[in-house]
Amino acid sequence: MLAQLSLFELGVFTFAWACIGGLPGYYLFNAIDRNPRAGARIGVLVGAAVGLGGVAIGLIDSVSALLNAALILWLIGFGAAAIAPFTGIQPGRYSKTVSLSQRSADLAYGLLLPAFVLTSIIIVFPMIWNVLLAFRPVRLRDLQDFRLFSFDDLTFANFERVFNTRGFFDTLTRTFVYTVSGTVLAILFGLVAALIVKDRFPGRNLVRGFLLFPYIAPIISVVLIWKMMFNAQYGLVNEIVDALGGRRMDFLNTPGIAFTMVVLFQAWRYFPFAFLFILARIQAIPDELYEAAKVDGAAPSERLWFITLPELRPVIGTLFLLRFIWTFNKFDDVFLLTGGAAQTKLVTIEVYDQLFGARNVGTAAAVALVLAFVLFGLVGIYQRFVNVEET
Amino acid sequence: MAAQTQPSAAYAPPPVEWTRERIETLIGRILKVVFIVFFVFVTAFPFYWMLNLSIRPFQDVLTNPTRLFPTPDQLANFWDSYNAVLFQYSFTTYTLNSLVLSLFTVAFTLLMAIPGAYAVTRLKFRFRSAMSFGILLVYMFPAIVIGIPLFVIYSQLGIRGSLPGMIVIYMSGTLPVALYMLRSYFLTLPAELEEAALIDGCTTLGMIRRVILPLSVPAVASVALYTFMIAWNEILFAILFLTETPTSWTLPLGLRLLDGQEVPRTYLMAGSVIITVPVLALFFFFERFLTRGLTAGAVKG
Repeated sequence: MLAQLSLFELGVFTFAWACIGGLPGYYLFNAIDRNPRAGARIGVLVGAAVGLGGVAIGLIDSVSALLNAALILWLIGFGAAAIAPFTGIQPGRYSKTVSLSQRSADLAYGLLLPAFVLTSIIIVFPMIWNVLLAFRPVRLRDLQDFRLFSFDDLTFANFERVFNTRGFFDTLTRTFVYTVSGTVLAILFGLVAALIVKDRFPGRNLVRGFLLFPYIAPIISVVLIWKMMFNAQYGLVNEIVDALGGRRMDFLNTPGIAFTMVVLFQAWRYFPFAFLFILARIQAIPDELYEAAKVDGAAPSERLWFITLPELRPVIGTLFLLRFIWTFNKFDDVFLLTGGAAQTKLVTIEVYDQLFGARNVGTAAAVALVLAFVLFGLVGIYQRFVNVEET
Repeated sequence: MAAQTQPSAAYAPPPVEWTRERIETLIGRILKVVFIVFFVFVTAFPFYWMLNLSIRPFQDVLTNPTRLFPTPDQLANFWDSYNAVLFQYSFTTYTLNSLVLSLFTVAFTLLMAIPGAYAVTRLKFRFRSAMSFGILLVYMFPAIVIGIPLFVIYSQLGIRGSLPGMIVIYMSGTLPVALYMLRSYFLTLPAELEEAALIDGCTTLGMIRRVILPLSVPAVASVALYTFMIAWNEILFAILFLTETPTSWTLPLGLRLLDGQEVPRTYLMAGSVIITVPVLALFFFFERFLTRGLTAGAVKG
């Protein structure tokens, strides 16, 4: 099997096994000798040896065998580290020879490593690997016997297909419009909500609780209730439209209106987030500012305009950035609400469609890559030109 | 009597002076009431309507779309739809799956995030600022981008439909949130306490357990609740990874797939109530923690 691997695959493979070995080594040696760095080094060697050796002698010949080997290595390493304190082994001379700062750093690595390794495997590695996938011809049905790493079949075909997809640039523009309008509306609602809840009144806590409902409820249930309320046949909203003498319509399936609906949904669901942030900031504005302004003869509207809003500017800037990023990336809301029908398709839905509709993994990865690029470009522009005073 | 209350001309109160201050305050008050009513209506009413629709038989919804309150008769039979959803459409299994997933995610996330957040906050090491920045960056990244590679890897490993595999994914999703929230809380704790404990002979881990944890109960509680909510509400990865394995369906996924079937809408609404109630209940019990935690950590959503 070793011979079949390319040099690159061999490198990645060895590196992965070194990481697998280093982690338990660190904790094992920390437990028996207070010398985690040496442990990590030895663990790296052991891991690489087990991985390569296992493949060389044919013990590791399938993915499940690979997983099992890793698990066994971990069980031995972590198990020994866990038992060590009870065996009466005295830690070595390490504590006398190492500086305090290094000991603190060692400890920090020890505390962070599990989180670090997990995020690396599940988030950072896929993020990078997605780039490679975007340049390879991969279809959903090839996945079973598919070489994870290969540079022989690199191609631009995925990107060509993406950019030749009819309406892809409309999708991009739509995503941008959706993100900006949804974000602005959500912040605006949040601002108004924060302004009305900022002073005490009877039942204020209850009102504040209600205001958070849309944000904390599961997305699927709020989507279903929106679908019910805006249903063309028996939706409550259409009954009201009827009673007011308007024309009934299929809110979520009519092009144009459906897009307004998904933007409104976005604003409705996420305004509580903006509300909480703005409220926290409003309550931190010192009363003296308002009193001084009042003495100087500023009317309430002027106090709002010249004190509250300027004080809120930084938090609104941050909120806009956060919500912009998250809305741009958002998939579930619109996917569940309209499925991308009636001209509401967003880039993230395009990714899904490429993956499960066209069953083309490579193209889906390419769309995802385009999404990430556009997003980082936009955020860069925002930080450079709009949000200059901040950070 | 009348003569007494009748003010004499000499002492007439000055006529109400309609200053700008006064007019604007009045307008402000009216607007406030209007907006409070508006906001409470748009946020609370849909949830009431969900409850309402989960009780009334669908036939009744079709004939009386605007019936605001269920009849006593319907109220008496409210359990029918819940019964059907829970036992006929195996929502008990989904609930169990969701619970297992969420609780394990919470436990493992806390186990990793508390020591990790402590390290990033207090200890000095070479990659500390890079670590903090990395947490922030990961936090911002599009979930769907990592979805595809993970889908490929999980397919190859043959663990795509398994709950433990999902726990790992959910954990890595909630970990940055938890690290970030806990970090901003730990920063507010006085370092002197920790130093005192260390000088008194505590090991660092012992100090985290004996000093830091008791001090951070509110922060840890809010992180736990948020992690729970994120895992409980999550649907993107559930759709991607679990759709083909009905035994591992979570509540959101089960509900979504039920939506695609020809079932009475009443059942769907009952399912929605089942999935929403635990979250709202938790929220009402721990509202104080939650609001604080939210603003501290800028929880993703």
